[in-house]
Amino acid sequence: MTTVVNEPHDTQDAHADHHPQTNTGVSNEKMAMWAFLGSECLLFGALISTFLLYKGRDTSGPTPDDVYDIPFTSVSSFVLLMSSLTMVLALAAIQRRDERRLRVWLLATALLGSTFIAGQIYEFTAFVHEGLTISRNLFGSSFFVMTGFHGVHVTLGIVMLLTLWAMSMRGQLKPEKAETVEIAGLYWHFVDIVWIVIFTVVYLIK
Amino acid sequence: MSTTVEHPEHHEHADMNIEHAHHDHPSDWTYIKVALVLGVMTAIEVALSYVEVGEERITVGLLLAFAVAKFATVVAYFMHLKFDHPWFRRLFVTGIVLAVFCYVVYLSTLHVFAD
Repeated sequence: MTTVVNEPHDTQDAHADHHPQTNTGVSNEKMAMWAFLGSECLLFGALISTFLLYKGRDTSGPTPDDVYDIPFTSVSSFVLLMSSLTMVLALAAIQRRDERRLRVWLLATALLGSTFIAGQIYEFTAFVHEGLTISRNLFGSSFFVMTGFHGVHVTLGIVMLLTLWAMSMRGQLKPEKAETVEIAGLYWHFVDIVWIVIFTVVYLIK
Repeated sequence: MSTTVEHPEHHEHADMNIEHAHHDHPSDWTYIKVALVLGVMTAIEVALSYVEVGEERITVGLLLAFAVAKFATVVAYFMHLKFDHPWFRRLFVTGIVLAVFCYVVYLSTLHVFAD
């Protein structure tokens, strides 16, 4: 006679973070986030392609050369790039069960993201003052839609980060839930890599 | 009478997961070094956009190469795709390949690269 003894639920829960009990053997939530990010490549690909299609086909100004402030945008890009560092440090902190540093790095990431958004609002305002609006010409339409969509994504990321920070402050984000931080981090890094492409293709390539 | 203790991680699929779950993530210092490299690459990119490096197509090629390198570095190290389960890599790469193929065909059809 064979008796099968299952491990107690507590023990299983303790291992759940590292060994998800799914048909695939990997976390469903993480898989869903990667699938979502794969689909987001198509969304941003469409926006960047449309910008490239319309590039240089304006019949009236202002043109990119009239309005771009490359040094300013370079600093904004650097700020967003560094927010990816603070995000990954937040994940490393919760994986080490260091909740205090998790909160510090989450807040730092949200602040860097907010700085980037503040820069984008300043840039949009400056462009409008120079006569470039969303309905002014092809450049205005494709530029504002593309960078606007990216800005909305960054803003949603900031909301996620602040929610995680608030949950941690209330003791609702324990190290066992490190995967939640990892999934939010994947989204955050994605908005960073999209900006890497936009910065080069839209701003730096003449 | 025999007693078998069934550990969840001994399941067939879990075995595959264990192999990939025990990946060693880089240290904080490695992340900082990666960020420094990304910062230097950004600085070179900005400098390239100001200086003349022979023909314009060479500058464009270099700028795109730096963008791809930065993109891959963030995905590999900060998003842990280098260390994580291959399924995640397959899902993401499928999206990228589909997007690049689809939009290169779209832009080529409209003669964007001919200009």
